[in-house]
Amino acid sequence: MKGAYMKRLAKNILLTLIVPVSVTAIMLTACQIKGVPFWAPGSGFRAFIYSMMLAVFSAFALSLHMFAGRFDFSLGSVAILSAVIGGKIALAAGTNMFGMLIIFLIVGAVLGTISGLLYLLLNLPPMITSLGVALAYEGLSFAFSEGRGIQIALHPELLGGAALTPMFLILAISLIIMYALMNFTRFGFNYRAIQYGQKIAVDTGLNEKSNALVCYAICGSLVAIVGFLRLSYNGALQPQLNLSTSGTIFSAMLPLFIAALMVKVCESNIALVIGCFTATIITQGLSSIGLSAQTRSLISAFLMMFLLMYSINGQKWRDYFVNRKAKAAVQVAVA
Amino acid sequence: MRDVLLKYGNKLKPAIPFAGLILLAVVYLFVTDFHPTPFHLTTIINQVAVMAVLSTGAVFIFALGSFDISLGVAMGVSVCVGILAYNAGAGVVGMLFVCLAVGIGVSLVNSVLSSVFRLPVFIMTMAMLTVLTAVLQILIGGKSSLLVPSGIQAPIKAFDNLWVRLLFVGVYFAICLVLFNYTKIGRRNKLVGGSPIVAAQTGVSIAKQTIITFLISGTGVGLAAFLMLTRAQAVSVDTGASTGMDVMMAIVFGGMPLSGGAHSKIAAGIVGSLSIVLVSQILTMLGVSPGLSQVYKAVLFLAVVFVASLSYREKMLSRAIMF
Repeated sequence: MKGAYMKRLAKNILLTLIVPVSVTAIMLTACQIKGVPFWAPGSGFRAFIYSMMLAVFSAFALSLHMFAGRFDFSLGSVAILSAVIGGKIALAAGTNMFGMLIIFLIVGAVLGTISGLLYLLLNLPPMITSLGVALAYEGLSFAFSEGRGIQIALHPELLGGAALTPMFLILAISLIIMYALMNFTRFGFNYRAIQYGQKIAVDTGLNEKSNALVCYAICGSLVAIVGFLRLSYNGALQPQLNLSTSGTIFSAMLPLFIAALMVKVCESNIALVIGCFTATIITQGLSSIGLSAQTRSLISAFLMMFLLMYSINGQKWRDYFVNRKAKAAVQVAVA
Repeated sequence: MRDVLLKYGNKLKPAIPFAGLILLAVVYLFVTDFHPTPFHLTTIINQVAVMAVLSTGAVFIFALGSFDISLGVAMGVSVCVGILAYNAGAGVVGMLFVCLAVGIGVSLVNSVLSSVFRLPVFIMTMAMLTVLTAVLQILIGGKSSLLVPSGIQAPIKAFDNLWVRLLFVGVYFAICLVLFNYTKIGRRNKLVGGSPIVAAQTGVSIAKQTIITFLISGTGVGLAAFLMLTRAQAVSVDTGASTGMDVMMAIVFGGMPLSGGAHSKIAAGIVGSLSIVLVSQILTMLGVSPGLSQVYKAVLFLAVVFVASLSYREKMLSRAIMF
């Protein structure tokens, strides 16, 4: 019994690691053939981790909503508004970067909760509510900062958040919290019950409204980390209007599709981190071998489309090849 | 109280977007001191035309209970290829056909992906949005924009007038109105949107219906691209970037239920586009800052959609299966 479990575990670990390891190997080999370094000299590795972190937290938030049947266009605007409000509070309070991170998390949770309350009160499709919320939050971040955004470049005590050690710390703590939240808490159990059978879950007395509200608050905090990292890395953040903050969501789609392929053999939060790592490795590798930003985008986009097609038609394609092999074997036997 | 609200909400629901539009028009007249100049009206029509054509075509997809978020970028690609064709000597008519061909071609790809590979339309068009954005960047060739050289702009500018815009919007809307309300294409669209299972059981080919729907919408994309090209004679990497969501907002603002089906209205695109442009114009004329203007628009949008959807409240929270 234990042997079978260990065998299955080993198989799942192998299947989980096969994608990131082979993608990394391919990209490293391509760089070797081209005779170029994989990391740009200087801060190349930090830039890579920074990009991956942005993808991880956007994908965490996006997936938490998407797997619950909601699509939230407002995630990018929550990130910007958290940065504008949180940055102003941090500057006024004269805090350090850890204080700033906590302020961002609280502001993000509050903004997410407001968004969730609107969804519950209006009971409109989440896509529609989130469009309105995105418009409002973008407008507020512009109005609060009078179009100037937030600058912390002259405050070195606030800038260290995007250094390697804090980024790894934030990732590790977030991953542990998300893993525990989804696998060992009432929230996580209820979330999954609603995900797989909303009507039955509600009919058996589960409070889907409180679950959705907590979901919104968590997603708000997660994208507030995106705002924190962007502000810490660049020293400034500009407000955006006309729903242009939705780019945050689209950049998290490829990692999400990669993760969707792995969730059968791997815990969903770990699958997301691996998906983000793989997607960032692909972008980094293509950049290192000298492909233009446009070509990189096109390759990533086609890859995303292929993964989407595979995730929906994969079984059908596998059945087709298995049947063809079986038919060929029968024909050989008859002959 | 709730029952009374539901009863009256149900009766008044179809009139709410129109009433909102009339109210906005009155407010607009008020802020122009009841003397709107031809310049004011031309500005409104210029802003409405592209959005109205795109939204009217998108109503067909919405009626299926889906949405194509890549419409705006598809229009951007169409404008770009149109400029390349014109610069290569295709002439204005040739350019129009190229815009139409690209719009229809992109929609055809979407429809095949959706019907043959059974991809969920919304998720598929989000992936398509990324593909088309990259294609647009490659076509523009690493620059920030692509222009029609000033020496050969005159023939295009001849089409940059109010009457051409009204003609394009009017003819396209009339065709869509007939197709949607008086032919089996529209009836089947609403049926599939209402219940794909019932539609399939009654012999409607959902794949065929999806392809027809995307073709109609693609024609709108091509026409909108032509109208945009005659106005701007240029395309940038950001052309149409947020138009997909603007269209979605316009249609919902115009009274379209997000679930599609029998309550779908072909006028939702035009009514919604006009309403959104009027709101923007009113706020601009009142001197409201861009940030606050967007906040007011958001509040108004949510309020209108909330009131318009009063009659189809459900006990459970609204959600959809994404994967």
